[in-house]
Amino acid sequence: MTGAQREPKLSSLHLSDSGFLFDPYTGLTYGLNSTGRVIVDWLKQGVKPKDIPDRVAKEFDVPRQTAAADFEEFYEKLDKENLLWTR
Amino acid sequence: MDKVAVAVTGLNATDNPAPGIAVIRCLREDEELRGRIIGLAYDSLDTGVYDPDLCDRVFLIPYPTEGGGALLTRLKHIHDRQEIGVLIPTLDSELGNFIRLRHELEPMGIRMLLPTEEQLQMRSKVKLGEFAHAHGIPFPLSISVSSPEQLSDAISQLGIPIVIKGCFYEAVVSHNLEQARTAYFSIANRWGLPVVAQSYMPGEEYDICALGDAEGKLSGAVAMRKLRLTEKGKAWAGITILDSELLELTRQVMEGLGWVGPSEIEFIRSAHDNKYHLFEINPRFPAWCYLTAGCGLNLPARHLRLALGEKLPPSLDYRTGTVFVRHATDIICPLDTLEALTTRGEVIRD
Repeated sequence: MTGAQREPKLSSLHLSDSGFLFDPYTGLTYGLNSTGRVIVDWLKQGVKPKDIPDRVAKEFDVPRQTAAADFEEFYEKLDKENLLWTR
Repeated sequence: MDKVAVAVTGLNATDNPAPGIAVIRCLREDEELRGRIIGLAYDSLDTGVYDPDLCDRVFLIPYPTEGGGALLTRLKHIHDRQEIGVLIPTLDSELGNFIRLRHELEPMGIRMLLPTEEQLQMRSKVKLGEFAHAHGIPFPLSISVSSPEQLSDAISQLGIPIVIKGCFYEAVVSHNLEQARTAYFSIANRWGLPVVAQSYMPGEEYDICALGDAEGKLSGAVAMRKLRLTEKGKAWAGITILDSELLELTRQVMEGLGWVGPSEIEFIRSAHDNKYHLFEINPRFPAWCYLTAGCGLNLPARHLRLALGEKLPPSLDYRTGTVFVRHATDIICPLDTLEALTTRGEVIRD
């Protein structure tokens, strides 16, 4: 049996300009809205999760607190869908 | 590549398509292949016979149930009419005959890349659980069943729903004892005993087209997630994926068996434990293997090169996110193809 280890997956995800997201590990596809697409793009580029709310607040002109709450929820969804780690 | 003629079986593409047509399409994509493609058909209405872009020549061969002797006689006749350099069998039911004829066909110059009879048995639906257990590969609980009483015992142990599988083909998910008994008798009548009773495992299905080289090492593999299934559970659409864990399991399976030639390895990622469980190994190219050419790792073409003795480094280099969608269509053909096959047992197009 293989000793599978959790590995970061974000850099492997295929993300298109339209927000179509493909997970090459599982073959599953997702549709992201424009905010989600931008956030996943930042994460793929290596932006740290703790820095995302500030960026969202600035980019989309929303209160920082709202951006932080929404991002937390979104990040949890990414994790639940196994899009952050291989396992 | 030498101008070698390649013979391929399994030309009937119905809703449960034989793999031969996909294998030929892959070979046609290899620009260095300059020899003829020879179709070996079992029936004059095998669908692939009628596509003029597939086979340069087609010959009827006897059904596997007629045995190796009849097949050898026919192959000798065909080989006289058209020299065959490499032969690629693509059907489970015929493989035993071709393996047993290997030592007759090789001196004739007909090369094949095939497993041994022992390896073929080891991956059979009846024995696969033992193999998986011995190699530490997760596998659904399975019990070999040869009587209705044993079926009842198996249901007591494995619970409901349960999967009833034929020793060669077919699997039915049964949700109660009556359904299981009906499936048992139906499958036993069609494919013989024993039948395999297997615990039902919900989850995502993944398929790997894998190729072992002449030394039983993994030469190449392409993994695919099924996107759409037919009523028989066959993939009608799929997408290539690349999960190192899945491909490592594939390597373990192929090299654990020492498998020579093509195979289709099926895994289920269990909804319960999120682990891959080995489900089935088919001893031939899958019908969806044209996807391997589509994603850049043409495994039938690689198979041909290995059969011709080329040394190729192993490769898992292919494009993920490549999709196949199967598409049924009609071919309009002149009467002379049917006439040639039914009267002479062959079609010569070139």
